[in-house]
Amino acid sequence: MNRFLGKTFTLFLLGAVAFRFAPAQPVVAYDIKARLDPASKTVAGEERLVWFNASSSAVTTVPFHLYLNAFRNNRSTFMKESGRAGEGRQAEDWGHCRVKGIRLESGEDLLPSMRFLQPDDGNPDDRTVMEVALPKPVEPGGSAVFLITFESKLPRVVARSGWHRNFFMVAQWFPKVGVLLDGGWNCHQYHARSEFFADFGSYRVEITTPSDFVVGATGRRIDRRENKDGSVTVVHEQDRIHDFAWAACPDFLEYRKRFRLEEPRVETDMIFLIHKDHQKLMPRHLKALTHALEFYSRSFGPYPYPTITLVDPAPGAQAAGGMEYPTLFTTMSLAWLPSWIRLPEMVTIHEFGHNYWYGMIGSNEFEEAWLDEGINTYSEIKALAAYPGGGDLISLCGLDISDLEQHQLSVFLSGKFDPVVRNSWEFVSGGSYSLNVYAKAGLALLMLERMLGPDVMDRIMKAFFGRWRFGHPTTTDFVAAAEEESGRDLGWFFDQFFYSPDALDYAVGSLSSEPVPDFAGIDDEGEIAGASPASRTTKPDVYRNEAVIVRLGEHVFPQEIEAVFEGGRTILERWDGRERWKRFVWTSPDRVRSVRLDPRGVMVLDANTANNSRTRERDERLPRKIGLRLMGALQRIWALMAF
Amino acid sequence: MSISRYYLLGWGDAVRQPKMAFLLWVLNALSGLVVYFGACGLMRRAFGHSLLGSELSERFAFRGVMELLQRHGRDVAALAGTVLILTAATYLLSLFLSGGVLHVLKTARNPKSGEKESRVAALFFEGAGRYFGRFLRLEIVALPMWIVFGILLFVFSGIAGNASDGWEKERLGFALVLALVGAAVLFVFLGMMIVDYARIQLVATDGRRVFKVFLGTLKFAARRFFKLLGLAVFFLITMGIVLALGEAVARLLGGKGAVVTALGFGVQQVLVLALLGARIAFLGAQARLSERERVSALDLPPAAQDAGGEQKERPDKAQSPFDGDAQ
Ligand SMILES: [Zn+2]
Repeated sequence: MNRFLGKTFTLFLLGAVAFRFAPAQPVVAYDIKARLDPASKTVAGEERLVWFNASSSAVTTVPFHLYLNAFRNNRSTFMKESGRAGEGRQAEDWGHCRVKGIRLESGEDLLPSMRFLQPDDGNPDDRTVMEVALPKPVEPGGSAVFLITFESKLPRVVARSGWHRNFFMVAQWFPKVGVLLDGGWNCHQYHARSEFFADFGSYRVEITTPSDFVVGATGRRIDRRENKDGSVTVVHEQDRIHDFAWAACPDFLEYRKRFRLEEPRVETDMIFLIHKDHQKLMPRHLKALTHALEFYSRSFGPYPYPTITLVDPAPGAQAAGGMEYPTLFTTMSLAWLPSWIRLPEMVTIHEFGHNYWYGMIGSNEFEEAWLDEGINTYSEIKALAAYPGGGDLISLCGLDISDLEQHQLSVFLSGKFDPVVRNSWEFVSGGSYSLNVYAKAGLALLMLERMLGPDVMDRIMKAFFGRWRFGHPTTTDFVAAAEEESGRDLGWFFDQFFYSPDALDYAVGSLSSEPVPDFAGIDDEGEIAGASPASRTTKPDVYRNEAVIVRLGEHVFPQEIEAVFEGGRTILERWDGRERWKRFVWTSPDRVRSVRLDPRGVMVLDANTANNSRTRERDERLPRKIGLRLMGALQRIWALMAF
Repeated sequence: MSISRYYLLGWGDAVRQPKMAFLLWVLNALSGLVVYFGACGLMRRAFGHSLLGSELSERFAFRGVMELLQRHGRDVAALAGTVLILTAATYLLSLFLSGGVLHVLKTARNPKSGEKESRVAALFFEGAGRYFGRFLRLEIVALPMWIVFGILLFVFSGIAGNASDGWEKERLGFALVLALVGAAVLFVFLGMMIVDYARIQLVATDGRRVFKVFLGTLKFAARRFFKLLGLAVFFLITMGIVLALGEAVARLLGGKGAVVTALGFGVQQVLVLALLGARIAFLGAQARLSERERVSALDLPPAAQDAGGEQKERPDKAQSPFDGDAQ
């Protein structure tokens, strides 16, 4: 979807929820024949790529991603950035993608013009991007057809793809053309902390493996044939997607179940490839995927593809787990995992969710990873909160940890180094990358929802999804959708929480309640009046209740302040939150008991919630309880080892 | 004599020494109070005036743990440090205290003229002081045993890793991890039991040749392995019950009215006392078992080889062939 079109339509159909675009003209059409040789861990491929120039300028060079070259040696940008530098890797553990031939269908050989580019860091040893020069330019609206033969040696599972024993996760495995935007080619190197970006189009892939392998792949299966050499070929096809991945393992158990939803109308085949050692977790994945399909379809828009394939990586191949591809994702299982740890559910829901935020909303994961990871974290928190039977990540005997709390912890334990919106490889560390693009962005959206109300947020999400389905939106497009649907200026919100690394922290600085003294001094008649000492012994009838609210963080956020008085009376005050502090005084016959900021729980990103409230008198129950429990526990331990 | 008889005799020994149990409880509770005030102070600083504190006193909220770690990490570390120091002190003190306990029990079994129960404290500290050095040496002598246990665990975990294909057979791997934890607990328990019997022997014979006593104890433990283990299991179950009761009471503590809290606190202390009593009873029973069944000429004076029901008077200075100066 092209951005101009999207915005024009929006003007016409502002607020329309069930509003859809026909997909824009596909930019790519891949037709690939792949043959897996399990012994040498290689995939031999022949690729026919039709590429359309949907931009407004002619091109004479075309770049391709060769992602697997990230694992070619320890000099690649990926390996250098990941700090492991490939230590301990055996000869068979490395991987690569070698282009053996590339020519135009019209006959011209492009191989002699092939060279490697390093647009991001200039690392001459990095071979994850190659470029070929065309004999004549491809004009806007024109197309080129490439014929490529390649060999992909899979690495031992690392960063989403590779082999482990007889399990093969074949991802980022074929020469893949960059994205031509109006500003030129967008084709980044493979970084340790980045995902991907590609154009929408159609894929038809023939996969040949030994006959004992069970294969799962993006899209729907249109053919399966047994070959004379004892191998089996399956053919998969799907349009309106921007990547293709597949998995193969003789130990997969395959389950299929039809998913149907009336409103909105969804019908799709759920395909589960579960490793035989993880068979017991199958019902958990089934329940999670069913819930996810229903939740995402209802919340954002119907799931449009005919299949969704869940791949459960083999034991020991966890590095391939928890990753999304169009209509296929990998989850995580551990055979012994008890049901009160809902990690498999969380991963299944999250990775399925990427079919929306990444799959259909094809944002640039290299440059604005929050658009897929952050929005998906927000969606995942909500989907888990609505999980049938309870969706706490951990829930054991009253010890409950929700997904929201888990993300909050990761935000609060981290430093304030990076804003959410930043090139993936430019974050100070892997930790900073993930806490920002996942947790902080997800929580910021949750905050936006609580600020604007669930109905408005619902409209925003549906509008953004509807408008940008099968397109390449940016942060600006999300902000535009939010402002249009809410009818509010939200620049201040996004500037603070997406473009600044600073923190949000408001606190109740002080709280007091003092009797207003009886009049003393010279009154209007010129008489000297004064409170007799005796009047001090009676109960005073008016109190001066005072609270000072302070802003400790850099971020500014409008505040609601709830004061509760003895007797139960409640007062709600508001403050724009701009100054560093604000004093509230209530003179009344009742004394203030407590003051609480943010009574509706909007400030999900507030760095310190303990200081968001203050009671006039200290509650001794918690100190006593914790003190006694700790003391008792230690006394018992010491008694056992006492002598 | 059967295990259950030793068990009952051990409890008899313990019940006859209420003052000693009380003394041990006082030391235990003093350490406990240090922790109590430390934890109270930390909670007051973290949540004292916050509504979050009131919420936390009613139910667990992960939010509270987050705030505590995030805002009061130093204080939490300081409290944890205090607990570690107190625990280490308890361990060191145990070398001292167990001498006292064993000495009191021994004297009670073999009363000498003029030694009355009213002199428990004096007896206790006399024993504690007399055996402290020997017990300390015993800990050093026992080090190789612990190292062997450690090596065994290491070997076991290697075998388990191989058996489960580098932990990739997840179910089997998980079961093996549980088995390893079980083995580790058993080793710790065995080690402590052996040290107990060695201490008992040192006190019974008033011997000084720690190494020889330790070796003898190893032989004795090997010979009577199942009986020793059986007796230990009896006491383990007892202590387990007391611990479970303690946990149940702990759950009733705090967050409630002051009266319930105070009541709960009182019951808690009684249970700690019961636990200490069980430990004394355990030592008493082990001492009796040792006296009756440890018949090796190597490490027992002839008097102890008497198979009679009640123990005969034992000379204060042991006459075992190895009795002499420390090595
Ligand atoms: Zn994700």
